[in-house]
This record gives sequence, C-alpha cells and structure tokens, in this order.
Amino acid sequence: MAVKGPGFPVPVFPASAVDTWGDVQELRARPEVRLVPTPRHASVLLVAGSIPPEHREAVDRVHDQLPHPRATVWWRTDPDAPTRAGRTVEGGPDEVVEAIIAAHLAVAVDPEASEPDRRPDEEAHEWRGVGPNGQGGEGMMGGTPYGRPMAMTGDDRDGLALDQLHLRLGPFLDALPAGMVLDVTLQGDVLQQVAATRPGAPVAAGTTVAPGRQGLHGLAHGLHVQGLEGLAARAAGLALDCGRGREVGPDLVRLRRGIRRSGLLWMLKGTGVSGQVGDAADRWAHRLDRVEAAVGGGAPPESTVLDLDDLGPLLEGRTLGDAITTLVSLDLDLDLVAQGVPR
Amino acid sequence: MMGGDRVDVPAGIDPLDPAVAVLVLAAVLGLGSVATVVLRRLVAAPSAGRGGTTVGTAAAPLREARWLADQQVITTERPDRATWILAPAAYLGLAVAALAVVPLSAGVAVADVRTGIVVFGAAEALAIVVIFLHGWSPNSPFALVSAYRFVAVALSYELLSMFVLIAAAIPAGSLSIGAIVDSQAGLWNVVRQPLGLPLWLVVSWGVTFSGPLAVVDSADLAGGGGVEDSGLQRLAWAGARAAMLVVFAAAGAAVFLGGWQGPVLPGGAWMAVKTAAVLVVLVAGDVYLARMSAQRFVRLAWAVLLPLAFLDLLIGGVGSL
Repeated sequence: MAVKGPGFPVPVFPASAVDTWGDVQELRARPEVRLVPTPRHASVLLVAGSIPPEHREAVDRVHDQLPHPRATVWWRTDPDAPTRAGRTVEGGPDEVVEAIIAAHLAVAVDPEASEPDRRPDEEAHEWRGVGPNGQGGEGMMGGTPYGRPMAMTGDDRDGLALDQLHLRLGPFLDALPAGMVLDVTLQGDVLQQVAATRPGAPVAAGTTVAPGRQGLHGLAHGLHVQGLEGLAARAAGLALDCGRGREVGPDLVRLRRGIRRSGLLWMLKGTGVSGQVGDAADRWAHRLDRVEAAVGGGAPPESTVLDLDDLGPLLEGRTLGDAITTLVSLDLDLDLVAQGVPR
Repeated sequence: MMGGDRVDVPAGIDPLDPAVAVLVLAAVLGLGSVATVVLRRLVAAPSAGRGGTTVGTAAAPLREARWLADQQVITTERPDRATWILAPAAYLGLAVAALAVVPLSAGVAVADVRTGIVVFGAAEALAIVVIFLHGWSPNSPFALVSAYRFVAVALSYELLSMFVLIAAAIPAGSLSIGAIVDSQAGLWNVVRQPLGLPLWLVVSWGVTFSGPLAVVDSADLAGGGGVEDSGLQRLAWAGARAAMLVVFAAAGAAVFLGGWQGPVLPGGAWMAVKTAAVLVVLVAGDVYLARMSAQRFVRLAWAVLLPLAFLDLLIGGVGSL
C-alpha cells in the first residue's frame, strides 16, 4: 500500500445510499479502515452513492455529530448535488481507502482544518410553548415543545401504561438497510407503532446484479450487527473476491463453519418469529443457503420479498433490539436489488 | 506456607501498606489491560481473514488511544454530566475494589478480608448501577434503551455469581478468597465443582458486557451505551472495561484454578499464568461468539443456568461433608 496510515484503522462512519451500500460493506475487509456504528466514534464521514434529495439534510446532521477533528469523503456521489467541503472520489475501494486515510491524516496534522458544522446549532422547531412550564399543553401534560411531542402515557403490550416516545430512526442508522427510515413509537424499549419508508427503486434497469456478491454484502452487514466483526470482515473479503471473479466456494464453506461455531443460529432461536418465515435463526440459515447457491452459480432458493407496509406489523410489539435483529435477518437489500432489476 | 495451615487462622490480618497497595493495584490493572489488548490481537488473528495489514503493529491500540485523547469530547442536549464523567471512574474504581480482595500470590493480597466474596459481590452489584448510569447519562434513546436492556440481563447473571462464589466458599469454610485458594491445595475447584468456572465465565461476560452478553455497547443499537461517547470519555470507558475483565479473570483463576498454587514457579507467576488462561477464554468468547438477544438470555438464565448454579451449590455442599 502506497499510503502510510496513522498506525491504526481509521474510524469511518458510512452514510451510504442504496446503490453504493454493498461497496461500502466491502470496506469491512480492509484493515486500514474500520466502519463504526455511530458518528461519535468516527474521524471521517464517508458519504457514498446517490443520496436521495430528501436525505441530504440528514447527511449534514450526521456530519455535525462527528467529533472534531473530522473530515468528509464523498464517494460516487451525485455530481448534481450541492458541493460541500471534503474529498471527492470516483474510483474503486483502493482509491476511497486512500482518500479516507489522507483525510484523516490531514486533520490529525492540522486540527484547524477540521470541518465546521454544516447546520446551524439551533432547535429544529420553534419552542411553541404556552404557560409557566411552556410546553403548550394543559397542566404538566401534552404539547409539542421544540416540535417534540411530550411523552404521554398510552396502552401498551404489558399493560403498564408507560410514556410514549416518538423517534425517527435512520436514514443512516448503521444497523438498518440503506436508506430505510423507521418512525417508531416506543414504550419502554417496546415498539408500539412502526412506519417504514425507503426511497423508491434505486437500481436502474439493466444494472448487472451478482446475487452471490449481494448476498455476501448483506451477510457482512448482518454479522457486524450481531457482533461478529471478524466474520463480517471475512464475508466482506469474499464479496471483494466475488467482484474480482475469484472462486470463493471453499472459503464460503469455512465462513459458514465459523458462523456455526459462533452459535449465532442458536442465539437467535425464538427471536423475530413471524408466521410465514419462521424465526431469525431460520432466516439466517435460509440466507446462508441462498448465498451458497448463488456463489456456486446455481439458482438461489426462492426468497421471501417483504413489502415495506408489512414491516410495521412484523416489528410492532418487539423490543428495539429484537426488531433490529429481525430486520437484519430479513436480508431486505438482496430483495430490493432483486426487485429493481428485470430478470 | 502450606495450604492447610491457614484454616484456623482468620484471613485478612495483614492488608498491604496503602502506598504499596496503590502501586500493586495500578501495576496489575495496567499490565493486565495491556495483556488483554495483546491477547485480543492474538486470539482474533485467525479470524481476520487475509493478512498483509498495514496496521498490524502492536502499537496500534496505543496510537488509537493517543488519537482519542486529543479528540473532542462531545456533549449532548441536557446530559447528566456528572454521572457521564463519573461512570468510567466508578467502573474502574469498582474493578480496583474487587481486585483488592483477590490474593495475587501466597500471602500477598491488598486486603484479603474475611468477607472477600461479599466485597467482590458488592463491587459486581454496584457495577450494574454504574453501567446503567453510563447509558442513562447522555440523554440519548439508544444509550438509555441499552442501559435498561443491560439491567434485565444483569439481574439474571448476578444471582449466578453469588451461588458459584458461595459454593466455592463452602469447602474453604470462609468467605475469604485467600481461604478459598488455600482450600484448593489438594484439588482445584474446577474439578471439584465443575459447573463453577463455566458459570463464572457467563458472569464475567455479563459484567464486562462482552461476548454473548454484549448487550450494552453493541452495533444493533448504534453503539448502545457508548453511542454518544467520543474522545477521552470513550478511552476511559474502554480502559475501565479492560481492567474489569482482568479482575474477573483473576478472580476466576483464584476461585476455580487454585490461584497462586502450583509447583516450581513462584506463586505470583502461577497466578499470572492462570489469569491469562481465563482471560484468553473470555476474550475468545468475545471475538468468536455471537451476541444473544437479551430476552433469550434472561429465559436461559432463569430456566437453565440458575438451576445449574443450585446444583453447583449442592455439589459444593455435599463434597465438603
């Protein structure tokens, strides 16, 4: 490698659009960088792919969450998007890794070069308060100070009548599929209401799809979310190999053995049970079969394509952690890509 | 001094001089944390896939620590600032307090008090509060959710810890960890009470929220309790966690593997070797085992592990009749 790094993996927070999400997952195989699950842990923000216009403000919000010194790398982003500070890369993973290291080193040497906030440091909504407590409701209840509804009690799964918390998760939440936004109502950590949205079919017709490689991207991401970074790096490495046309069959068998030994399927048993598609463990087993078949060139077993509207009922009543585990087991990205391309 | 000699002598008579004690504790935890980092690299190496890394030098964690020390410490909207800053310090403090009652070599412990396992258990229980507070402090949903999730898990592993420690104390006839080490002169507890060490590993993963019980700072909740931590705060929390892992490995070595006892080598060396052995298992579990969902662990803990802990207690009791 021509570039000399800082001597440790550069912590990168990726904000990727659907079209480049898989390439970003492949960076998990690169020892020079580390994809971190929160912008607070990163020194470099990697914005990848054609970010839909409705998510551009969210990119800026994520940017401002990085601690100083910080820098941005834009990878294959839409050339029409408004230009921002940072480095722009069009090439492949080698180029982007180089740019990330260079961006990190530049702000490490000169912290003054750290990028300033992109959003004004002010409330997203005005105060709109009424009365001595200013929250705009009656007594101590109700109202929407600063655009955030006051927590009000409501019926819930366990009959505890806990306060409701309204949250928007995404579009760049590490554990969610690319571009997904979940508007949720939480009581305790139980999801009471879920509304999922995702920008429309992002893959242009005629795009070459490699189901094996796509499956490995999802695998790498899923293993990362389940806490198996080493196996995630290996899955990402296999995806890279797939892209270069190398035979990955035997390595995939070894990876599967590693997954079996990690106890993942056992740990997931009984989590995320849904009528048609079993529990998360079943879905992981199915996903592994599918990746293996696709890599071997055979016809992948039929996958269950989920409509976004069906996600709500599937996730409601689960704890936040279990909902994420369930979502990850669904392998939505493979489905999405499959949908976007006529066969 | 032979193991049997101390049975009639109440333990905990000679605590170390405070000045020496501070040095000993700092040295053990400092070296132990470095050892943890090194062991993690070694253990994780086979899983990393392709080689040829440009970041493979042993100094990488130190360089990263140096980077974190200079990074901005971010604050959130209306955090509980005091507890946010104090949580890593308190977690480290509890690790130190717990280590104080663990004998490091024959007759060498910072304070081998008669109620050693009570002190150790108290530190463990207070660690639950501290880990919760760390998640509570930043006023951030993911951190708070992971903190509550941890408490559910913690209540389930905490009982296991009490039962396995009491089972080990029965043959010793004392709550002192020094006496528990002495009682293993003939046969180590790992053989005498085979359920003890595996259950202890579960407890250790729980207290350090790693391995199958990595329910706190995990990727499914965007970094969970540490989601808002940056710079020094993150460094302090990571350091305290490494120290806590070392303490639980040392206690596991003392309570189940005969502590400082062994032929030829001096007691301190045996203790170091055995602690490192437990540490390797704990770190390997962290690297190679997947995270269990909190509900699944709670069910497993109450339905399977707790009965096993009772059985362990029974074995300990019957064995010392």
